[in-house]
Amino acid sequence: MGAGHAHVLHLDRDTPLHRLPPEVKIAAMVSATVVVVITPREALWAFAGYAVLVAILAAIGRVPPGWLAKRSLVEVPFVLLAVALPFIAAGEKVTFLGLELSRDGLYGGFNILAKGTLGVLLSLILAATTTTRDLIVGLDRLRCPQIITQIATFMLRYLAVLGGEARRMRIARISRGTTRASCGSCAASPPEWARSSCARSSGASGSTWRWWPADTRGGCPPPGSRSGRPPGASGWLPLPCRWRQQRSRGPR
Amino acid sequence: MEAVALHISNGVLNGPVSAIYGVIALVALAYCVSRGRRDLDDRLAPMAGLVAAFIFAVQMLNFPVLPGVSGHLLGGAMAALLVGPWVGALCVSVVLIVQALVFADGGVTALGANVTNMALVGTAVAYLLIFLLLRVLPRTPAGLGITAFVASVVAVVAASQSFVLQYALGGTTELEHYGLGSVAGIMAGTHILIGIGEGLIAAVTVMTVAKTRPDLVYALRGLKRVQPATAQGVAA
Repeated sequence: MGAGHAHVLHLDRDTPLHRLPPEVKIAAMVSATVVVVITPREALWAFAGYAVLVAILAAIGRVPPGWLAKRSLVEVPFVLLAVALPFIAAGEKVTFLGLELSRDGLYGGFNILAKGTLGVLLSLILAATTTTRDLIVGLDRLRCPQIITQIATFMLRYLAVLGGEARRMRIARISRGTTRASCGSCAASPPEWARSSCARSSGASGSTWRWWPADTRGGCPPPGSRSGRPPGASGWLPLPCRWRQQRSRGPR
Repeated sequence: MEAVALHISNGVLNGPVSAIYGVIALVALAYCVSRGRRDLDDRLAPMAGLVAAFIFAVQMLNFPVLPGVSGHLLGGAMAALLVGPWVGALCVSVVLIVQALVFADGGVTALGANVTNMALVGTAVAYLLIFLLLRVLPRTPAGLGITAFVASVVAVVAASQSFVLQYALGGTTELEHYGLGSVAGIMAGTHILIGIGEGLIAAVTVMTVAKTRPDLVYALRGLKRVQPATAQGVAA
């Protein structure tokens, strides 16, 4: 699993769901997922109800069904497991269309499929309506230890920069007529990454930590941290936003 | 078939086991946070972000292991080598948390189990091996490369066995043809291959960093910390 991360993007809309404070959305999403998971797998009607609620949520957030379907593909390995379970699981057998299937496996497969899909859809709706920067603000307001939000902030920042660099290198390669595009598009190969990140952190400009934001020495609070100040447009993570804008506008 | 990647989805493990692993992960991460704070100076913080970014990026690359089965780098060994075990475990956890929350990769309720497998078991086993191997091997880029490779292979297999244990404790469906032993065997077999891929990537990365900026490699600092961190440790 793990394919398709780069394609999961925030949808820039103005809906009640987008305007909701990020900490509320994170808490709601986590508790909704917990409720889905502890629902007994035999309660088929409950899952139908959840599906309707998720559809209403997606409609409020103006998240297109096609967008959701495409991004749900991360779930494919588990769908395969769910499809296989009726054939490989133990227990009482039932015959359906000439196939001998395990009743426990059928329920198990449905369980993984329904709970997995609902969980995936919930987190995709969160992703569609929350920027990564807001996500960190939300985690911070939920009293997530600062060391974790700090690492996450740096991670998203560097991902954006390295992603941008890889994209530029890819364009440069294509312009030179090289077709090694697939390699360039994957956020740099290990030695490339190591070299460019070392170059980043040693910097020729005299300042050792060029990427280290000036106001965060010894603290590193993301914008709108517990002080309650909302993140401004010129907030702490401009790069991912810019990168996202480029990605959503540009052809690729 | 069982060798789906280690990102466990919602509904694969039952409620109680997910909750128990959630508590285990929370307690262990709280300890990592307290130890990591001591380690995290203004040199290590950006490095931790970089390591997390790299792990995040390479987890997108799935390399095929067997037909229908693919694996990806977990990053525990590399993180432990570059930023130490405590911050390393936090880096991998951050990747998993962000993936679960917004990228729908790995279920939110299985986050505890995923963090336990990849961030805790993976990093702990890797660091144990790094600790032992670096006493025997020379502290050169080549020595580090071998260490990274061996630690990665063993850590990935250990993480996969941790998943087998979780499935044995709280898998939602019992398997007929595959006993627990054979599931463990299949998982170990495929994850040795995944581990070799991961080991090569980790070795190349760590060797490159060790050649260009050895001061950024945590494992090269040795058992005694270098000056700035020692000063911080005393202050704490």
